[in-house]
Amino acid sequence: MRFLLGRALHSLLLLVGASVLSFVLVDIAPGDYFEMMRLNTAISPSTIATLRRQHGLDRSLPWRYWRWVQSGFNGDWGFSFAYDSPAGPILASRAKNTLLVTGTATCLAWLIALPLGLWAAARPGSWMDALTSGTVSILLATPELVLALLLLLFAVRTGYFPAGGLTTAGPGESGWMQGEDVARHLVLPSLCLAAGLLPVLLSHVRTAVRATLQAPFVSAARAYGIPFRRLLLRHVLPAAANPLISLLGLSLGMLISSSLLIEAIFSWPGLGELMVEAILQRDFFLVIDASVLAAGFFIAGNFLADLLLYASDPRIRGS
Amino acid sequence: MPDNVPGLAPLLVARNVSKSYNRGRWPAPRFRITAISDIDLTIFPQSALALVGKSGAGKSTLARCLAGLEIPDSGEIRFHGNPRGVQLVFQHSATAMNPAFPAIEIVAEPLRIQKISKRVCHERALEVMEKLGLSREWARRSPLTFSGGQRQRLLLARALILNPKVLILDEALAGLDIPAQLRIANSLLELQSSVSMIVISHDLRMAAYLAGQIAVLDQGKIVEMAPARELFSHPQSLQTRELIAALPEVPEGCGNE
Repeated sequence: MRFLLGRALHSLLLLVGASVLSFVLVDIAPGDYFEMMRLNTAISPSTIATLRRQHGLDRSLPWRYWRWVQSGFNGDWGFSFAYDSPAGPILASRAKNTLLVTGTATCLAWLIALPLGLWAAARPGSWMDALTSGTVSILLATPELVLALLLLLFAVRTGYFPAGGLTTAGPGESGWMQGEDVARHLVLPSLCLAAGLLPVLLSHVRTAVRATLQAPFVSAARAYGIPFRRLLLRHVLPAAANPLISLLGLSLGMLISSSLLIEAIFSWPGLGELMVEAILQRDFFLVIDASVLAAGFFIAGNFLADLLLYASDPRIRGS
Repeated sequence: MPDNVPGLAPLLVARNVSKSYNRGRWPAPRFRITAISDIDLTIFPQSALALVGKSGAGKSTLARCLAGLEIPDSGEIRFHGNPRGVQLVFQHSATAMNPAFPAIEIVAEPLRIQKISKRVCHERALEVMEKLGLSREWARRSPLTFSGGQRQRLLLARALILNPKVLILDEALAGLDIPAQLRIANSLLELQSSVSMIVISHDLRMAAYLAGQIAVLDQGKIVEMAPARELFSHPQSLQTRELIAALPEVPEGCGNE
């Protein structure tokens, strides 16, 4: 229990630290959103000063940080100057799209990596093992950009899949049709992301399982005649789970921040696109919120991994 | 081969058993290591045989072959009955059981995989554990909270729950303190009325304490096999003399004052 409380407190402190750091870094960066207005001669300096005062930009950093935390409690999370509305809702709709593609990709990668890695580890030297290590090498050596472009080429040449965007259907379509439409748009970006994640997962699964298969308790279990499937699923997988659980936490943590490039190439209206836009315009609440959100996901993923480790490993519970 | 218990049919017979391993993976040069070659062994009911030798002499490979964990390259191993009748106990008790299970599950697992009800398995597991001096109250504890000696008893219990005919102890006492070794050794001696044992050790004295017959292995071959007493009084081979010379002795002049 103390372990869990400790981890929770640790996570919270990290999150506060990440948000403070985001604020300080954005503050150090020269200029702000209203700086750009000065170039426009139609807007008088006094108007700009008034706008600044309205948004509290003339106040001290701690005051602004505190106001931001307060606005977080009613879901606003600051104010986007460019969109002229609270930052929270804008971010939420974009984050949803990003989560859709990264979540699909992560699930896909794990669903492939786990059985394939188990199989390859259980039969070292088999054609399956060779195929797996070959795939890992090739995918590791292929830059994501090249893979994405190849997939785009495939989409354009064959026309099986849309080449980008989130939807093509008009608003009049039924809910089912819209869902299918989004799913078709989802295929290529999530495939591309999954291909980036797969080699890492696959080699970790294979290594962890193979190391466990050499443990003496596996020999003992074979001596008392355990069926191979039960050996793998009930003995080896739980014992090999520790590094995999940590990896799961890590892969969940990167859900929100891993798809910047893919979103740009497939013009997916996600968080990455929004963030680049916000940085260029110095729309700083959006930048801070996106950074804090990414940090939050990372911390939450690791916290979840800690929880799972605690639940699965008696050695951690005992200490 | 001397028959130590004449008149009984042999339980486990090994004839001309050889095993070698491939070592080295590309780009390193590949070569074969001969672990054991042309081993002949006969195990009779209610007998105890010790295999001694230096590290790398092939003791563990022989044990794994006899237990059916490795298939020998040539020669044959005959065992009458279910292969589960040969059970192994390993040295590293901490890694020889899955740390994710409580003690009772570890002991009961060999029965559990045989479609026997959980209640029966656990009852039987508790019986075996108690016989080996492990309290019923420890059943739900993780093996990691046990001492080295207790863990070794757990491993022993797991092997004995199947009522094996042959028990192979692969350095099962190494790494324990001397009193713990002696206590477990005495438990093993009590068991010898019901199960044949193959005791693998590099400690010649412990081997002689546990087994009437000792076989000395060197570089994958049995170089000498004799009753324990004879081996100590008239060692035939160089390797045996080496092992005897290596036994620690109380230095002369010690304790004279």
